[in-house]
Amino acid sequence: MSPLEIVREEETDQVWLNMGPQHPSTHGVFRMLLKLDGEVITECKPVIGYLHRGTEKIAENRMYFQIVPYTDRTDYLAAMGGNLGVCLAVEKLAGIEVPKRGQYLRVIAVELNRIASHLVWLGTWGLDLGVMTPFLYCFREREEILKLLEMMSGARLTYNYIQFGGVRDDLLPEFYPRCREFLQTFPSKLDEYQNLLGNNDIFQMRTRRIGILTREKAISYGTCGPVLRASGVNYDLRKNQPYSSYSDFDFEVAVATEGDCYARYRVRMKEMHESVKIVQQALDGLPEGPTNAKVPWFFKVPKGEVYSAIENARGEYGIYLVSDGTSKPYRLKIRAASFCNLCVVPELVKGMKIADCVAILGSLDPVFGDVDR
Amino acid sequence: MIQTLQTYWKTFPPLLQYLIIFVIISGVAGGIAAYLTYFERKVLAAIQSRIGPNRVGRYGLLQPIADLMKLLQKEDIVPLRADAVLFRAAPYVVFTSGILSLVIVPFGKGLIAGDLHIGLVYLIAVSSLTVIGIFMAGWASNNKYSLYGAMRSIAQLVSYELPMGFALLGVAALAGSLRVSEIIEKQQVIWFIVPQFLGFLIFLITGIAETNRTPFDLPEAESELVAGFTTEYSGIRFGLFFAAEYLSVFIVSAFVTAFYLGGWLSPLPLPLSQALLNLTTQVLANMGLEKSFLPTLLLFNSMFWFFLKVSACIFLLFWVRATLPRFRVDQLMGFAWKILLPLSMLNLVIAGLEGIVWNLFYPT
Amino acid sequence: MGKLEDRWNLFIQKTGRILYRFTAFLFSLYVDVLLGFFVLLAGVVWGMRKLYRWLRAFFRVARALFAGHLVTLGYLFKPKVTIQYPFQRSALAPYYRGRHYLVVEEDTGRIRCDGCTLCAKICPTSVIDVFGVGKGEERRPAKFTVNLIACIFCGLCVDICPEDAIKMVRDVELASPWRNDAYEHEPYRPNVISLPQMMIFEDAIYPDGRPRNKNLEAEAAKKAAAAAKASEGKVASHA
Repeated sequence: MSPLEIVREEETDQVWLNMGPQHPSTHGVFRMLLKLDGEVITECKPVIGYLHRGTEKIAENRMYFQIVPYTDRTDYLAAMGGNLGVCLAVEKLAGIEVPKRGQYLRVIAVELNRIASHLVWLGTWGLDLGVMTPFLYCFREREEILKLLEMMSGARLTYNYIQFGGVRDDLLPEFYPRCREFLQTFPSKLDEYQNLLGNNDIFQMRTRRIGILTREKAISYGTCGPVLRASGVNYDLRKNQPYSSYSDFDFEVAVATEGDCYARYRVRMKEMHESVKIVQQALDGLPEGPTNAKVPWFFKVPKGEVYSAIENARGEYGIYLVSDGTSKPYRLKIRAASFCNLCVVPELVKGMKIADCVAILGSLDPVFGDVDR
Repeated sequence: MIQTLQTYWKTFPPLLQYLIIFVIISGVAGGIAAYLTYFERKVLAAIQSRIGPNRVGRYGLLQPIADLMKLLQKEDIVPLRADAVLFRAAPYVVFTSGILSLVIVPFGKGLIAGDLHIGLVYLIAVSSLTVIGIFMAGWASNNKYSLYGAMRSIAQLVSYELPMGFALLGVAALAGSLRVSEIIEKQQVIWFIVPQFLGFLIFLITGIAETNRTPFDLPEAESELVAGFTTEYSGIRFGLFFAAEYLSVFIVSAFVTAFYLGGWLSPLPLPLSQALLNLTTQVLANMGLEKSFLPTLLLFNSMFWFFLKVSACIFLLFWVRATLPRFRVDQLMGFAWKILLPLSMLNLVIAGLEGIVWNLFYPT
Repeated sequence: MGKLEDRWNLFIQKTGRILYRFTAFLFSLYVDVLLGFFVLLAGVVWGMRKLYRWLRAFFRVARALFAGHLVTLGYLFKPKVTIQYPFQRSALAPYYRGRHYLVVEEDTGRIRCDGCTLCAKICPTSVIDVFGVGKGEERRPAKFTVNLIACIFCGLCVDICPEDAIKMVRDVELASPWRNDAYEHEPYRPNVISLPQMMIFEDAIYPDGRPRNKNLEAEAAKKAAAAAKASEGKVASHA
């Protein structure tokens, strides 16, 4: 046999590696079975469901006000978005009108939460790639946002703030100066992170041309949010299907065309800048008036079905609600952004190395409360 | 007191002398390794806007002792189908190569344990022993993760030894000798970092790579392979690997200062440093302490300057760890072979030319 | 005679050819060297440009890495944000949803809760266990327990209470080695709180002495209204 044939015959075996549910960098309970040829991944089988808590089934046995705390716990890093999603769906079906001040307060809450969620993403992704310092810097900034959200709602992670008809409480007087101060100082911190991480050559070597998601694949897999926008699709629900007075605000949608991990990084950094702008505009233009419409505690929603989606930090968080006229929903389906984004993982990691797999997973920013519900 | 100690010392048989020196040096090495973990945690914390350990003892100074106690009382686990002899021996091999390098570390003027003719070559030889230890650890653990980590680590260590050797050759060319004390003495003209800046950078980078520290810490990357070749190790065995890594941080810093930053030479001009030395001796004599042992550590003498520079270099290593992300394996190897190795050869050419110029002005 | 001439002509021809070839060779050699020199020059220029570009990239990378290092070094000298628990505690916001308490009127010592079980009905995880005894104004809860292990601290019970009887204060240190501590099972203590006691938790008050908690503020407003009404000669009665 020729030497080439001999080498081909004695090919080394491919190994199945289990990046198990407990792993420092799978961002939650996620299991990936990777078939490895040396360092290169040839096949990937993701296994999810380790955080499934039956939220949708529980919702079938709860009255609407009781469902809202459960939605906090699906995408727990962007909980305001979860609240907003279910509130919009029920308000659409029940015909509840939200006063303007309530809408603006919702926008402030969701955008602040978006910044907080992206800070967690940035910190933990950096940690996966080996930098431990931006993690602490991001959490320090996030602490300020959490204090602001705590002032608004009374809790730091599971807010239960956005309720049917508006928001729960008005803002305290000490919120305004503190929020303004945060909005002043935060953009310079973002520039610091860009200096520390984004411009760093090693970081760019780890993220450029890694995990390229083409535009066609992104659309066909149903990805959403920053993952979709980094592949060149200009689709942001805040602009395409405005809800809760987003059309009153002037902001840009972050889009990139390369579709690699670095593009997703740039899109999310830009989104943080834009969120700061939105909160600034909302604070400046906060109208007077009631913060919420009166909704009875054990209200019934008329029969019908509705799908309503919002642009959460991770993408399109949609609620499909089927009501049979009682005070409990007949079916509440949550269209989770992270679940659809996670579907591209087997496609993206083929041909990449293990280190890249970690980088890709981090750049997709999955939250497993959202994936498994 | 020093006089009495010295007279006693001369009466000991040589074997006892060597044994005592060995125990002292091993103790010092262990202490350095342990307290470097403490300093790293504090420095990293300060960079990250937080306070490091501060509960165990005043300012957290007893933290390494607490860590040691914790590791000692852990269960001694040897995996079932592991190669028991290799598994048990591996940490000691790695730690030994660290201690062996302490032989030629120049702590001060005339304070080298063994001033070998071939000091540089000895250094490179001994730092290659780590490779064997890591291979033993990875293989004997009977674990896929460990083997992967060990393989990566070996590839990395072996590739980065070449540029390190070339950089040191540059130093040897300038100094005209392989002996560490002579290299330091030649730096009285000018510290070698100035003519050999490229060599300094190369030696620093390869030194960081040799010790498996960020940005080259892929073998022990927590986020990927759990803990690389140390996955199956627990308790004091893991503690030894950890201590060996921090000891090698000290060693790399010690040799960076010895070869490039002038070792124990004072950075100040000679009259000024002499004046400082006289001043402190005078102050101590006034206090009546000149005969005892401890104040010799406080004088502006060679040991002081050496430790000052080593601390600066160690701080640099911690600073780099806090800032830079990790290289991927193939990028790491590409960096070593495609960038560092050609650069180190270029450095050798430059060093050769400089050596010629040097010998014109300072013929020996 | 002709033969000598022919031989001479042949000789001249041969030497001429050799000379010609020799000078042609020399000339081509000269041209080759000239061309080779230019090729070498081009090669050197190409190499220098490549080197220049490489060096520029090298310095760009080095500057970017160095800039990152300066950022981290800057934080070495900035104040640290650690809060040393348990010697220091971070201040919680006024409406923070901590532990539940039943409110006791400070002047009459009477519990406001009348056991209407609305809070138990709205609770998503059904952790409140309450039933009342008595009728009308005298109705009081005979049992009121909140299972703090299962409570999700959503605050719906506080929102729904028509009597303003249950509050959540900034008490978050609820961990205990015993499971029973999670059930606030003693009916009236420790899970009742009077408004002044609540002020202990609500240590942040406005500079003019107004309490910060919205519920406390509602209390103060009601008191002011009651005082105003009393001063007008009307008797205020509110349950």
